[in-house]
Amino acid sequence: MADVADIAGRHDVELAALAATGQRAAFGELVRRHGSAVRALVRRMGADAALADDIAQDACLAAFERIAEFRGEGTFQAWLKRIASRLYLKRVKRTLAQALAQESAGSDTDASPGLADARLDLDEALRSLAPAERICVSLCYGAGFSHGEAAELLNTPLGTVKSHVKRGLDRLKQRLGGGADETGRRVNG
Amino acid sequence: MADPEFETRLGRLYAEAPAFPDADGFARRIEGRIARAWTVRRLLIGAAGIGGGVVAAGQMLGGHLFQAATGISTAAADAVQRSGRAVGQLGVLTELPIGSEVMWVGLGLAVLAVVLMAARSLEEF
Repeated sequence: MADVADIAGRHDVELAALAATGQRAAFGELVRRHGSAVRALVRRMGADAALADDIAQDACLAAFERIAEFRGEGTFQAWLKRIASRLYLKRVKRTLAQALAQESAGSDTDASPGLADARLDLDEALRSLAPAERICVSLCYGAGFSHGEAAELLNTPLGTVKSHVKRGLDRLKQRLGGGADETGRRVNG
Repeated sequence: MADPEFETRLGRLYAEAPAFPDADGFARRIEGRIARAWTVRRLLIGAAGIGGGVVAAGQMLGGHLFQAATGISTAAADAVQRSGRAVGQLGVLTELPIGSEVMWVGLGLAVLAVVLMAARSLEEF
């Protein structure tokens, strides 16, 4: 069995292979590395903190059960995020259908260009989106699903997903500001 | 209109996960839940094995299997004795004090061992 120091230095794929042999410590290290990203994604999709943690925990447990399916083709974090996204969509299935059917509920007046100067972070900016826009944008840009995959997951026409994504992106762009220079500053600092 | 630059930026913003102060506690909770699930699974497999064994033993006793088996095993013992006589070197087997009950108990223990092995394999994989 690999010791703690050994585990901490290993690559995700190696840890996943160790976890597949039943080494819980290896899986624990994977959760330590990527748990926060998954919790953040589910919150960004619209869940409150408690629900997001609940979903993230369930996603981690589901990932452990299915760890042998992870072959390292993508990143472990992306794989885990996809599992969590699916679980979240399942959990909010009832309210989701309603939200997707509705036209955008957010108001354009919220997205005044002046707010871009306030350096709003992504979490704040996402709050200005309608639930459907938030979920569609998060699925495509946070969990890495294609528009087609998102449409399939949401059981919604592709065109609806695309329009929610487009509206969401427009709002986010207004809130966050669209300049390349600002991108660099934000990412680096 | 698509803005690849902004989309790339958005992807990067999503990838920047905030640091949760309880990240380590969260991981420990997951490890704890996995450990509990494994313990429960182990207990269930063990309980199923014991339950199955008890039911099987009850059925064997209730069906007078041992009495029925006595007749069969007597014939089998006769056959072994005949074979033993035919093969002089195996004569030592016929001298072993093996009754039919002992033979069936031995068979039962062998079956139990196979069940335990299967349970262990399930637990491992």
